[in-house]
Amino acid sequence: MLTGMLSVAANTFRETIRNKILYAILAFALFVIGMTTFLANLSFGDLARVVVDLGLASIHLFGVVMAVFIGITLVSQEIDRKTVYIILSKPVPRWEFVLGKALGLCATLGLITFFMAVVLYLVHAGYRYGQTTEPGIFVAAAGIYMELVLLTCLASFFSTFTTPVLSAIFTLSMFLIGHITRELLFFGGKSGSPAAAWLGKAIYYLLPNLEIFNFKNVAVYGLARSASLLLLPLAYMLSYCAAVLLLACVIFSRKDFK
Amino acid sequence: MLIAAVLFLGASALISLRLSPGPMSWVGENGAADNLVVAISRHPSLALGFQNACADLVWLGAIQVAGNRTLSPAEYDRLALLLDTAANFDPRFETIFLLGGLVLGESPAHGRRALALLERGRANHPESWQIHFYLGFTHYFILGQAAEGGRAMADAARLPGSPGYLPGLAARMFSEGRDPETALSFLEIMIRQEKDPSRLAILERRAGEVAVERDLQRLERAVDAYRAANGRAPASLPELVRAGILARVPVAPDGGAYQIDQEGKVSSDRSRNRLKVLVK
Repeated sequence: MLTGMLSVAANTFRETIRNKILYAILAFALFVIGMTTFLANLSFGDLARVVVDLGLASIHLFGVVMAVFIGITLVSQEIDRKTVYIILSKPVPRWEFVLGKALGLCATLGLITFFMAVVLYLVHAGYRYGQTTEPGIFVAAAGIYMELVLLTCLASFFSTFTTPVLSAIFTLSMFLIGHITRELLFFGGKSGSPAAAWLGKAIYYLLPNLEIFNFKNVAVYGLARSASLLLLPLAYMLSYCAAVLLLACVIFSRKDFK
Repeated sequence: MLIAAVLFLGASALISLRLSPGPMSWVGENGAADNLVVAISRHPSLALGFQNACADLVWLGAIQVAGNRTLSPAEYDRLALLLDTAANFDPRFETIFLLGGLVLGESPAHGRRALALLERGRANHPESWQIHFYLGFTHYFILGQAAEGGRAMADAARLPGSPGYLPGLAARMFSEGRDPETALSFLEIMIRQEKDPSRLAILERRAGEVAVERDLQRLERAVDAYRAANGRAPASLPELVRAGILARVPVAPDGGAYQIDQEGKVSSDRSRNRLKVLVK
């Protein structure tokens, strides 16, 4: 059971980890993380906070770019190359194919995010040589990773029924809205119209709330040193991803490839 | 091919140099971009999870302005705007409030902005005795509000980690007028407490200015005494020593010299402007 899904996931992992674009983005991200030490020297007070802030921002930004632009091609590329026919002609249920593709990319993103977090941790430790290091960097990076997993699931969902360009637009819109849902709730409540307030609430609770994965600020102040902070966001991510992937499986199961 | 590519790259760099408007000014140059950042900072979630990075970039801009040796009123305005914006993005960033209180407080016209920023700092860091201390300093020396200054200093004294001599300073604030000697004793404490070299440099510069003001006020009092006794102003400062009014002519801490003109007005040859907040 699930061997089909694991085979697809392993194959997707191998395929994405060999992607040259991924390495170009990763190289640029590592370059930016390295450059943060020069920017930190322009500051005063706690200089090392600039390294953590801008380093985590790089991991976040480049992670989103990777998740969106690789995620949107996960399913559509298989359809364009016709390889989907070969896979689905084998005893692999369609839902296992969709879940396997998402799982494979999540594994790649996990590895890349962890690698970037280790580099940032080392750059930060080197910058604060002889002083305490900041393990909260890994907690904040785990929060970023959870956001990337959610975006990957959304990208996979969109790629089951629309073109890569539209998938990218939809996923990036979800990224934008996911960070401003609280503002929408606030403005909905301020509008005075019950319909707007209701719509604001509906958006707030139904669309992804990506701010709950944001631990960058607490990490900088040494307040994110416990993995228990991640438990509720993890539950939220698993629940939301399950809903999105189930919808993706339903749509993909009904897709006609003729 | 490679050489041609390098040549084209060089040509584009030259064109870019030609079209460049010159060195960027930190004052009023980037109006539209600034307005956008300020507007976003009022709703920090619009920064899409990059609030801390935005706070740092605005903070770096503020440091470039604050680093100037002398600031124009427009630069003080811009500094206040940048510090407010950075604090909107990250209210936990304590240094913003300390720098704001310190540098904006140098300009009498911006004393209220310094106070407002420090009040925000106090709301966000009620446990920080340094912010209460800076508040007391600003109330007392910049705005001349002795009672408020004493209260802020007494609040600072009650917080954990505060030095043991703060209650005595609070008492002095309640009992004395704005006096350069008192200001200097406060600044000496701040200098002893400060570990950051950049803030330390600002404090030392401030202490130098206050010391010059203290000397000028001493000299003015001596000139007044000389005038009362002799019916005219002294021709030179050593005359005050010869008349037994002064033990010696003070040496300016900034390496300059004090001088007196024909009308008996004393000044420093280095610092043209008096420290207005302490002029009585």
